[in-house]
Amino acid sequence: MCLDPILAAAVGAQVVGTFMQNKAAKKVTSERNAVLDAENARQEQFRQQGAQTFADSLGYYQKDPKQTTQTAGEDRAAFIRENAAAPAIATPTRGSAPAIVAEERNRTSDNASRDAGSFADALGLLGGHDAAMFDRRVGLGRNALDLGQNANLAAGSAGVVPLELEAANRAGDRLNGFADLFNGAGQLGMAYSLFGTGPKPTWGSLFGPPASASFRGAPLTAHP
Amino acid sequence: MCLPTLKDNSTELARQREAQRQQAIQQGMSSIDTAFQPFNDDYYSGIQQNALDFYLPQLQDQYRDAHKQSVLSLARSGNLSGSSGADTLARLKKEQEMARARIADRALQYSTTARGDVENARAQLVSQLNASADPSAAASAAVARAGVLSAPPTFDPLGDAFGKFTANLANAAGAERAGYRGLETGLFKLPTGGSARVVN
Repeated sequence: MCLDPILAAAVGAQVVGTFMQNKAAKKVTSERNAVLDAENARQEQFRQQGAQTFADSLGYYQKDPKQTTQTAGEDRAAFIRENAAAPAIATPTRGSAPAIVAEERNRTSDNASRDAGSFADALGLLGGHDAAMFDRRVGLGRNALDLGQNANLAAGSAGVVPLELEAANRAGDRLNGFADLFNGAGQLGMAYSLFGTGPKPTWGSLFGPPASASFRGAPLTAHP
Repeated sequence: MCLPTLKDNSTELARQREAQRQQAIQQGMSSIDTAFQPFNDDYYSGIQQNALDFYLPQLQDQYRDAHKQSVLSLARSGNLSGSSGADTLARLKKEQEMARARIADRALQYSTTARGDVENARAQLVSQLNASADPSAAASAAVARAGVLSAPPTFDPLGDAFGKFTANLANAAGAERAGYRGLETGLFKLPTGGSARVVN
């Protein structure tokens, strides 16, 4: 049995067309994967930065709150106590006053300074919680800004992905175009070969000397 | 025949624009950080010191006056060298040191408020930068905002720190004059023989 060359060409064209379609689909998949991989890498970087910032924020609450408040209060108390100490003003005494007068005055003055020092310490420690919270708020506020900015950059980067995916979807267009041509030619050839009328061409008629008759249909004769 | 091919590079342009936007935001952040660099620990220590320099001399003047009044009052009553006088002067000293402690606390509050203001201003600028992604606008806004923040803060005036103390001293003398115990000096008591009585 001899295979019809048109049919063979049509089948070949369809095989090539299918192969090209397949290749185009693979190219699209590969391009889409490349887009998604690149974006995943970028998003992972943003995610890591965000996680680091969040860990830093969490760190403010992982310290012992009692110790943090105490330290902040002691810093305040030291500042207040240092500035609470007042320069002494001399108090006149009579020349005949016994030494015990001066001693009594010094004793009560020292007691007064001691009480005022305790007051300064208490005042400083009282503000310890607020001072520690303020430091936390400043740190957390800055971290929140960093996280917001990170999210902004991540969203901006992700916003380009739909466009890139659309472009990736078009990556196989050229191959698909050729595939369509081959498939179309194959379909035409197949239709011609299977449903055409007249004698089918042979390999010899394709590559041999020119036929005296028309390729298909009735022989060429002069009309009367 | 070759047909001219139109290459669609809109995706590359979009990615490029996004990269430029991110770079602009980072540049803007550096501008903001540079503008806010002077607001460091030294700056806030300076605010504390300004508050102390403003209030403490006023308090010292008031203390000097109150001390003088107390010494005169105690001297008049003969109690200056006694334990009552020592107690009175010690109480005055305690009042003074407590007032100084409150001033130091207020100085800390001023610096905390200033730091909060600076942080708020910085946060607003960063938000604006994120929204606009315009580093030049962020930089000029940061410089302007930093200039406003550097303006000296206004401090509330110091009230009369020892008014209560000296008023008590005067009241005690008045009470004694009126026949009550008062300072128990006996100096301000009126003669008991007559019917006349001074009403203050």
